[in-house]
Amino acid sequence: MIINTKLEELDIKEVLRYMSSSASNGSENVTDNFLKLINDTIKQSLQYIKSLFVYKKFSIKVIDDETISIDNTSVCLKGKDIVNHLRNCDYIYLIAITLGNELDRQIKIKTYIEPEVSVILDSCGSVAVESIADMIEKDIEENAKKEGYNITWRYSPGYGDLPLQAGKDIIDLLDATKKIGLTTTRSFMMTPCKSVTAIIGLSKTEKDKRENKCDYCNNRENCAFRKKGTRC
Amino acid sequence: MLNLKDKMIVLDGAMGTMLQKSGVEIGKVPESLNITNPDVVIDIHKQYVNAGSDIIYANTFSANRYKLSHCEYSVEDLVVAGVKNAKKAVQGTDCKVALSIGPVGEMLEPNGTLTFEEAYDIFKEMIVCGAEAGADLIVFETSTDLLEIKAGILAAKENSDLPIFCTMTFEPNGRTFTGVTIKSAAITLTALGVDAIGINCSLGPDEILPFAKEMSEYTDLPIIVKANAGLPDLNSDEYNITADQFVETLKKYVDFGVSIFGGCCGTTPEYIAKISKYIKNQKVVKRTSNKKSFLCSASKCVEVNRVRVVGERINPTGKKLFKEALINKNIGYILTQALEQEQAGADILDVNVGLPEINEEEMMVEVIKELQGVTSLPLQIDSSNPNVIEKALRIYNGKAIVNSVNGEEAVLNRILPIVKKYGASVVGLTMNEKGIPNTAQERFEIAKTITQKALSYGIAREDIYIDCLTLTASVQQKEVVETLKAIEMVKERLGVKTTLGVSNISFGLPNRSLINTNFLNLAMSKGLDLPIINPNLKAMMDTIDAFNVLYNIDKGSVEYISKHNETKVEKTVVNNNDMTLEYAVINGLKDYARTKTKELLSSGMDAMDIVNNILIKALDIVGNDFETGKIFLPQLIQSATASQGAFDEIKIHLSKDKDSKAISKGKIIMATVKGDVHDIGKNIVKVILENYGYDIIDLGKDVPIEKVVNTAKETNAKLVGLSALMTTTVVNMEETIKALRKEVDCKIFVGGAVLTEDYALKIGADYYAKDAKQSVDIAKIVFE
Repeated sequence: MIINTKLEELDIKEVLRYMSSSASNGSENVTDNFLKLINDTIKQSLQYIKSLFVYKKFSIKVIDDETISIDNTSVCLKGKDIVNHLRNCDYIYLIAITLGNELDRQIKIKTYIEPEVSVILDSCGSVAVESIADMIEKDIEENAKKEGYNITWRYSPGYGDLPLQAGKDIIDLLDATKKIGLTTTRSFMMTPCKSVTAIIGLSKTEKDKRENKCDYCNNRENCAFRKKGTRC
Repeated sequence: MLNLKDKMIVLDGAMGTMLQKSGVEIGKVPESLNITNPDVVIDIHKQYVNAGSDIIYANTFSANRYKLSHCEYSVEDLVVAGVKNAKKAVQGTDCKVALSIGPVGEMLEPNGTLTFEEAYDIFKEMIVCGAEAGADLIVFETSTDLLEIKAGILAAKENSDLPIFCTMTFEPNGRTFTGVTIKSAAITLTALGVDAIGINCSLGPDEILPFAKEMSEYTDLPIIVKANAGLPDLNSDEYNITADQFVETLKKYVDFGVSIFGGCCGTTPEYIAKISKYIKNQKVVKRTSNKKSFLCSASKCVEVNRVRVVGERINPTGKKLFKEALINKNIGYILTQALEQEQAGADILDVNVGLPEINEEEMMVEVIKELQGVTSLPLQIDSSNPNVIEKALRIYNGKAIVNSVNGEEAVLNRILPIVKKYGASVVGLTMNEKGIPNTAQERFEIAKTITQKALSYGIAREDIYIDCLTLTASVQQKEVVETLKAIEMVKERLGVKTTLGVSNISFGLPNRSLINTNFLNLAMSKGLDLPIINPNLKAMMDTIDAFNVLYNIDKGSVEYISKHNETKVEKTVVNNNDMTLEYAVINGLKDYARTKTKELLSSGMDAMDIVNNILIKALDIVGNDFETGKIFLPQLIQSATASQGAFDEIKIHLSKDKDSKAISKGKIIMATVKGDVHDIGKNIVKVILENYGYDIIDLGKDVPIEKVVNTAKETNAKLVGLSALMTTTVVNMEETIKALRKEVDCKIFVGGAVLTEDYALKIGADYYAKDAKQSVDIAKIVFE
């Protein structure tokens, strides 16, 4: 499925959260001028942000403790963590989302003339891409329920021991370069930068008990968000 | 061999759709079938030949080095087999075979890490193999990046004699995914001298219709349309238009002169048979020729049909800070100059980076690459060195203007062929080996020589701009009017456009602005098209606004009113007397910080005292507030920017003193490591460090290891900062540190999302910085 909708708004609290320091306890000194700057920049960001995404269902098989094959393709997902995550799943949804090039370009432009705006735009991008992912997750969950399935939480390449290369595989399987203009570099970083690839599993067993993605995150001991008691 | 002028041409339909229908297992690289299942491929080709195709596309779309990196077959294997299969299918017919070339699959700099030269090599490899195997023409299709397709066109022209077709893919908003507009694509591709251009894929014939119409208005070349069979169904991926419906839309295309038709995704031999049946009975509709003057970047087109402002600020002549920036490779300074001019209303930016101390070729290429990543304005390449001009034009993403040639025979013969090859416009100065003639008549004669020579090299009249040269009124007062007369003669008698550097007129006179604006007005009234000025000077821009009203160009004074009737935005009211520089910095008030600094400097306070006792102290307070969670990151940055205002004033103050060295607390090199394109963290650190008074040499992102090492050697910087975001690129950070350790004596600090203090030290760094504030602490330790 490929849809191109327009985001209408962004949650200002979320936008601020990405820009707070690791010692933040949510009681920063927000002046009126600063609040206006944030609100204006959010409005501006919505002009640059495209919401381009594609997602599709595949059936899977667990081959061994480190390999899951995606049926009717030549692609395997490799790693112990992803196998644990999807062990009870019959299907997965592969998801690719990008906000497009223009936001990247504006973030770069503002670095030179209004660096504070650049940082806020960057934060807006993170919030936007997450909120699109949430929307897709909700849609997948509703469809899954109709068929008697529960969903796992969203898993992205780079979590646990699932290599970043899997991001390129997802893009190729979804034909996302052609459909939404999403590519990777040779070191598997996505371009445009504000993009997400993810996997959601469908299983008949009850919903995954683990609280959140941090349980699998390699960066969990070092994460600035966790130190603040929140998540990225 | 191809009659493109008077003949309707039918291309083929989809290959992928047909391969799927054939039931063969396609795998990761569909081109492998050229070797594993040639019969299937040949059969599909034959079906299209029988359906009436005049040209079929060989199954070579993705057979490039990048996409085949994990494939058992080489580029040569698959391209040669692909072309041979197609040749077999057309045997005994007049049908021609095109080598099909799709996008590389990775984004070009500055969005990605693929360089222009790498893209060129990737295309060259396919082209050499394809031409060798007997392809009749080369087709670049489904392209979304104008610079990438330009690399392909140059590779094709420099390595074969085959005709070239180019089709790009546009989204419903009329732009490609990378932001290329239809106008820019049409203008740039036409200027590069290909044989036909057009649109393929993504949309159906109904949606492409207005886009093809627009394209036809910006080119004289034959137009290609290869639409999908409508739009895909969201769930089944099936397309929604039948062959009959497809053909029904074609009449509208034929009416405005489209002459080359085929089908893309979802189309089959049935579609091509029906297209062929209809098209072969139609005549090519002649289009009216399009003689307009255009310049463009990939995303913006400027038609020179009224006065357009060329911004002159990217030029080191007489500018100490700009010279310093060039010597220190401070690209950020140059980009800021560009963006400020864009904001001020420039239409085109002149780019001159010539300085004896630096390598102009390298600097020009780097500046152009970076500039086209941030500004959408077309660029004017300002150099007299043919190598610099050629290097710049090669990587320029759009249609540029070259500044300049003059009436010297040797100069014309050296530079005009380059201008023609890369499809640029050109500025001709009315001077020659004897210098600048005094009379208008003599300057006109030189302009005539230049124009005739340019025409003889195939450069269109509408791409020629003559500069009749401004002389200084205080020295050659009598000749001022000759310049004005010459503009009029050139415009009227040669039918070319004119350009002029304006501000030299007032050199040596008081109240220069008065002279400049009046001279500008006189020149515009004689027909000046491209004044080269400083767009940041409001008086000059206002003069042009008024001229446009008085000459009935700004109809109904719409632009004038909207610009000059603005209610002034109220600024935060702060009692100037109560405010200290410290207050201005802490509250992020850049303008007040400037004013306050000026006051302090003129009251005789020592520059270093201001830096150490006010600016740094204020920044420390803000830094501490951020560290303890009292403010957000953008607030920290606002304060840093305010202090930058103060630093700028101090720099200007010091640069007036010829003997003084620029103020610097130390040189720091910063780079986001090889393979990594996420540089926002590095940029934040840079802004903060700069505003603590450090000189930052910012090497950008995806920086090769050698470049970091060489810069460290050349500049003797004591501190190097490296950033990396991903586990895949931290490896390159370690390699960069190793290389630095071997050759340079410097301290290294590192940062990035996946790094920890332990890990940073393990890979050999001296310091780990968790945020921008900590980078400052590290710099203080290193430079104290």
